[in-house]
Amino acid sequence: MGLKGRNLTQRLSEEQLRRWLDAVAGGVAKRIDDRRLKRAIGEPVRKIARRYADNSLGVLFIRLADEVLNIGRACSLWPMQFGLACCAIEGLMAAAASRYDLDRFGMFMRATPRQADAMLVAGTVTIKMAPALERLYHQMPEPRYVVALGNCAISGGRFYRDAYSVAKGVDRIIPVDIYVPGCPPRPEGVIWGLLQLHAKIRGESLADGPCIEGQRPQWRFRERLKQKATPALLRRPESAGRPEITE
Amino acid sequence: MTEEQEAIAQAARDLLGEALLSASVDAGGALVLEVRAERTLDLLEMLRAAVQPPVSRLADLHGLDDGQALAVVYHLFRPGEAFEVTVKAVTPRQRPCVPSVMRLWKGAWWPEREVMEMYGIEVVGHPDPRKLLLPDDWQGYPLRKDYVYPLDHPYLQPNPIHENPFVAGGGQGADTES
Repeated sequence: MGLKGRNLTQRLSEEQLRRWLDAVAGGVAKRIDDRRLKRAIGEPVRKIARRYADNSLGVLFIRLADEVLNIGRACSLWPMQFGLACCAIEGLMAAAASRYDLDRFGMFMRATPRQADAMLVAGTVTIKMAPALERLYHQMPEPRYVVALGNCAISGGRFYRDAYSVAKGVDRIIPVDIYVPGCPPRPEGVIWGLLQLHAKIRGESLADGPCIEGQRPQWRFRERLKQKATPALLRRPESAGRPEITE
Repeated sequence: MTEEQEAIAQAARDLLGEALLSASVDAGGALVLEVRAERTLDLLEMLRAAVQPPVSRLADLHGLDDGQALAVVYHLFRPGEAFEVTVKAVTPRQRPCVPSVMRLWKGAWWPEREVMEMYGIEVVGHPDPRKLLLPDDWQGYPLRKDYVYPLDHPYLQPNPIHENPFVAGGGQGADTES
């Protein structure tokens, strides 16, 4: 079975695609399991990080590595534009235009989920759109973040009562990291929400547990950090919204 | 009713006999002709051809559910003028069907699809009877008066941490909680 003679614009189902991939690439589809890949790559790094977490020099190196990686991830966050309704104009396009610039935060809108870090769900999600939204979320490579922009994406918004076609909040479909309220949120509000996302990204660590699908990394390393590290390492400099490790 | 509207109503009565259910004038001054659904095309063709000058612009096509019967409403205008004739094709609730007016106006394509999916009125002779706005596997006709909000859909249940809008007084409703 192959694609010869088949109309190239005809969509294949998942099962057909998988079978075609197996036929062409000799069973590659069966062998590639991205959970195994993640464990194969991520686990040695985490093992090393946890081994060196027992002395403060190790903690220093881990924190340095964390800072570099997190700053790199946060300061060049490439969102996938998922503008659906009014929030797209007001909250996404107005924020990305020249007056309330998003490019100064390193944000460059990508149209494809394969090259995106974050998904800014701006607008009303209808039930007809929900499967497409879920599919695009699963097509994003990790680490990925989701920002629910606007009241419709948070809870259905003004369509919460009696609207038979609007999904009551995008967090029923995909896991959400940051909620930005507003109908629509002002561009300054959107930027505030994206800076909160920056803070969340900066608070992650190499030695946290693996990011299992749908769950955030377990903040196990934070406990260890509090026990072993000196207060100087724990105290973060004052800046907009960065969380202190206090709890 | 003005003389012109009276003349049109009389012509419709002559053509349709007892299939014309009523002729009246609504609050905006438009002539409203209620007709049984199977004679709709005759009346519309008469308005387009026999009435001089013809009432030939279809401005809107939508459905109507007044609790008793279903209807499809056509708003017709004279091109360039504000003279309106509203035609209501009334059809019973048991097997609602209405002929398609696409052979008179191609612009009725999508509105008739919307009527089909929202009211469940079968538009006979429509070349493209797919759903327009709803998902393809949607059950039920949302714009009917007896439509029940589908609470068992996973995306449509009210969030239990909010006040429950389906129970009087808010709070945690026992029977409508997800």
